[in-house]
Amino acid sequence: MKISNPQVRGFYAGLLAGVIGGIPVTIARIIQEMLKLPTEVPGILSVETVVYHISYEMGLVGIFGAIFGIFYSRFYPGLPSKGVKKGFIFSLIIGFFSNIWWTSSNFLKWLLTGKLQFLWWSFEFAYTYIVIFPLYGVILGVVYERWK
Amino acid sequence: MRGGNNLKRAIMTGLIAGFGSGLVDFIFYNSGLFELFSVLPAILPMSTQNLAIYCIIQGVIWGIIFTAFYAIIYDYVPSTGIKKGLVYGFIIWIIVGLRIAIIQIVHLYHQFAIPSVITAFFSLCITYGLLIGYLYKK
Repeated sequence: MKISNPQVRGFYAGLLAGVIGGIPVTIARIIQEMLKLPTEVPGILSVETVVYHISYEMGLVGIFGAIFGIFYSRFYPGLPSKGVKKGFIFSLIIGFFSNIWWTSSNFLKWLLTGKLQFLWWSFEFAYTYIVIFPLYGVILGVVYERWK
Repeated sequence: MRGGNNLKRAIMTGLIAGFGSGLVDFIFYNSGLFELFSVLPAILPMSTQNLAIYCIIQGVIWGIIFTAFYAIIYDYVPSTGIKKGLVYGFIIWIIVGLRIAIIQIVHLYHQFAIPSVITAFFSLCITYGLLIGYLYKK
């Protein structure tokens, strides 16, 4: 499949990468529950919750994945590296802005207030950054190059 | 701000724009505007002094980081002059503010998410965007 318009290509590549990138979040939540770590989705080991969670994550990461895909196509020539690696680097940068901003925000709030809830939130954002963005970036990079 | 080393210029611009953005955040949190946008009470459990420290540190650090990326992709951000900065500020707002606000709403933290995303619009998109658009030129 070839898509000549870079922004349309970025949109669809980002959407696909986001939908696939949303799946590991649910797996990560299941691991959290199995390890008895605090989680935002308690009781995820039931089939109903897994189905609900996986569909919501695929939808949410998919929508923002598509938006970020448009940004990717726009900034593509200016990004460092070549080919597939560009997608990976772009996704690490975007994820860093999005999730690590909130990690640092909550970490700072924890340092200033001593409330453990903020430290937990700080961990949550860092954790989801590792789970979502590297995979999203690889898929975005591969698909974007293949659909050229 | 023109001339000199590109990285140095980006850091200085980021520092000033980040400080401005942090200041707007502080004004929103401290003046009651933040609660005005909330459907439920959503007060940050911090003293005024700690709130000021938080807003300025967060604003300055991330102002520098965002501007370093702005310097890399400058030629590919649409529009020119101040509008270019506003467009970049809007993109940063989508990445930092809007995405996380929607995640928070889904997790039923809407009492915090809605005022946060409105505050971030004024501090990141408007203030930060205007300042880098005005200060940073290649």
